[in-house]
Formats: sequence, C-alpha cells, structure tokens
Amino acid sequence: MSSKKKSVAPRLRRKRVAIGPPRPQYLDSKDADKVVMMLLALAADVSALRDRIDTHEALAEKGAAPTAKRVESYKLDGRRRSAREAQRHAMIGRVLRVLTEEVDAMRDAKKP
Amino acid sequence: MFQAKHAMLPVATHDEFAREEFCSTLRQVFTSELWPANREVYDHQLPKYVAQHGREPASFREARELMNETFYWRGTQLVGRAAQEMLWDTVGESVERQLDTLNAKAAKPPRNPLGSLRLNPRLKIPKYIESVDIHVMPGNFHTELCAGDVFAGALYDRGVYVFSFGGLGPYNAGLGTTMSGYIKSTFPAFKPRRILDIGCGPGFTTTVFVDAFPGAEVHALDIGAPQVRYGHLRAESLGKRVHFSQQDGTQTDYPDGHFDLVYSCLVTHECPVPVIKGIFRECHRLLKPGGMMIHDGATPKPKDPGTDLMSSYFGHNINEPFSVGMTELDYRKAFGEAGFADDKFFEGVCPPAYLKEQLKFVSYVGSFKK
Repeated sequence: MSSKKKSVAPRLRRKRVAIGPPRPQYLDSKDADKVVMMLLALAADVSALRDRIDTHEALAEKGAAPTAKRVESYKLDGRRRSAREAQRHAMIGRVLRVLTEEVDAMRDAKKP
Repeated sequence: MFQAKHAMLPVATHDEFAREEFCSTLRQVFTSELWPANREVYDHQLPKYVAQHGREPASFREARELMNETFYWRGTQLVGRAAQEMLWDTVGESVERQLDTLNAKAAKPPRNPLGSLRLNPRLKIPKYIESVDIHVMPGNFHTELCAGDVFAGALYDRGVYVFSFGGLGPYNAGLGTTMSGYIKSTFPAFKPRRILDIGCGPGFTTTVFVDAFPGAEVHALDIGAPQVRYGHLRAESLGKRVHFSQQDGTQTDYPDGHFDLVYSCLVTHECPVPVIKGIFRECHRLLKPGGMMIHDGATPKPKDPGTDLMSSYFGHNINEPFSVGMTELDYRKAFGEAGFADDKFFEGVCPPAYLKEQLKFVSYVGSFKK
C-alpha cells in the first residue's frame, strides 16, 4: 500500500444540547402513565411490522414475491406462529427491562 | 392454537391479527410473570416496613402503601391496565372495520334455524350496567351502534380469546366445560332436561352445555341485544340448538318451574350484591322441584393484607367494582333468603380446564330446589 491515508483535520463533536434556559417541564407525573400507554401501543405496531416482515420472508422462502395480496392471504402455521410468539416475548422483555430490573436485582441478590 | 372459526367470528387482516397477538403476549407476560413477582417484591419490602413501623402491615391500605414505594408495583399495574385497554381497542378497530358485513349476516338468519332468538327493544338497561364498562370494555355488553348491531358480541367473543391468550380453548369453551364437568362428576344422577344460562354473552358458555347434556333444551339470556344476536348466529353456525333471548336475569318472562338447571359463568362478580340476590330469587322461581342452581363461587377475602393486595388486581384496575362485594357475600344466607333450603346448599372446587397455569382451582356454589 503506497498511498498514504489522507489526513483529516480534527474537529469537535456535534453539540447535542442547546445553550439557553433549561428545557421547560411539560408533563406532570400523572402524564407519565399516558406516555407509557402510548409507548406500548407503538410497541404493538412495531411488533406487527416485524410479523409482516416475517410473512415476507415466509413467502420469499417459497419463491413468491411478497405482494400485498399474498401477505393478506398468507396462512400462518403453528410453528411459525410459535417462533413469532417467542420473538414478541423477548421484545416485551427488552421494552420492559427498566421495570423488571428491580425484581431481577432482587433475585440476583438471593443467588448463592 | 387458533380461535375456531364460525360464521360470525370477525376476520382480522394480517396486521390486525399481528396487533391482537401482541396484546395476547403482553397479557400473558403480565399475568404469568410480571404480576406474580409482586409477591416477591412485597416480601422483600416487608423488613423495611417492619423496621419503620415496628410491625407488619395490618390492613389492605397499609399493604398498598408498602408496595406503592416500589416502581415495580406501580409499573406492573400500569402495564396490566394498558394491555387491557389495548386489547379492546385493537379488537374493536378490527370489528368496526367489518361491522357492516357482520350486521348484514345477522340480518339474514338461517332459513331453518335449530334454535331461536327473541329480542326486547323495550327492555330497560339497569343503571349498574350503564354506569360502568366492565373489564374497561368500551360500550360494555349492551351498547348498540346501530339497528340490528352485533358489535359488542363480536368484540367480546374475539376479545376474550385475546385476553385469555387462547387459554379458554379454540371455542372459548373453558368456563362452560369446567362447570358442566363439575356438575356431571359431582352429581352423576342429575339429568337436566331444560337448562338456562344467565348472562350468556356471545354464547360460548352456553353451546358447551348442548354437548354436555345431549337432548336437553338449552336456553340462554343476556341483557345485551348485540350479545344474543351474535350468540344466536354463532350457535347456529356451530350446529348447536340454543334458544337465546334478551332479558334481565333478575326478572325473566319464563314460567315458574320451567327449568331443571339454571347457571351463570363469571357473571355474578360483575353485579352489585342486590342484583346477585335478585338472580338467586329468580333462579328459585324458575326451577322445578329438584332443579339445580349453580354459579361461580367467590374466593374468600384473604386475611393476610399482602395476599389480599395480590388478589386485588381486577377489582382495582379494570373496572370490576362489584367483585369486592361478591367476595364478602354470605352465599348460604343469600340462598336462604332466595327460598332455597339450607340443607340443599353445596359448594366445591375443581381443577380448571382453562388458564391452568394461572388458576389453582375454580369454585362453585349452588343449591337444589326442594
């Protein structure tokens, strides 16, 4: 390798917090309940999207192009449904990690 | 296991089904993992409480104060409530999209029906039903979105399957299977010829009795027109002969002594105590001598405040305001007030045929008319 690496001028990291008065506080503590509910509704849609991708993959495995019509008429079998169930279970576990860490820590502390 | 198809079952699109599946999994995680761990958290918190107060919590309120200190308790209840609201909203969106089709099916009953349907448009919906949507199911069991509507029936049939993550079986039959199995195994000589299901909803507690007691004439009533409209066509589609009618279970139009067996599945916990007592009185009037009345029994209120708190989820989070009254009801006394003889009282427990991982047992109370 004869070509030398181009030298790049050092630069600062992009700023991510604006200087100014502190960010106003918008939510009351009771608003947090509603935010969590919105977040879980979003998780349902993310999960549905993941299932849709899985249907695309299932169709592709059969050599079929995943058209909207084929996706809609796709017959889910028990094996694939169980696999999706396991994925959802794991996803919910990740989404709720902050909630369950209190119990996880408690259980870890009990372990010999 | 998928929910078994019949002519009235809503058909979900790919993505509606996927969202329903998410609600089921979230409900399952909540029921099987998140909620039970609250007991561990409670036991973990106890020493701290004892150190502060010099004793353990002495009441439900104190037990709740102890748990309110933890994010886990507050957070898990929120997740449970969110899952409950989401499931009705998700299934509701799917049912509403195809409601015109479902209502059109209901408007064309089968030419030679096995059973029958009677509606009563003049029936007054009691205040206790209008004032709270049980299970936070918007519209409760009775609301009609248009003439000839089946929305609430379809919502409940599909919603219960999602709620129970399929735990009641492909036909949601688990409640009826367990109760009819209990009757047959405990009273093998009892052969009812005419049966009534009070508060039948979409009829998944009813059709199982058609199979359990072959040859019996099976009737079912509910206060909600959308329930019995839907239930009638569901039963017809499944080839089960049931006579549905829209009635108030405390005041029906059947003659005295018309039935050998009158039962309800998961209904009394949704009723205020005066209504429960009204149902018992009506059961007594409707039964022939030797006829049986049977209902779900309440789990007695636990004496330990921690255990009491752990069994409070439904009453405190998903609009079951009357379930507390039921747990404190003296059944033996209430049956006596309704006219049943004390020596005919029975109660018992049996293993559940549904949600086996969640329920240790199911309990029943009943009596025979002398």
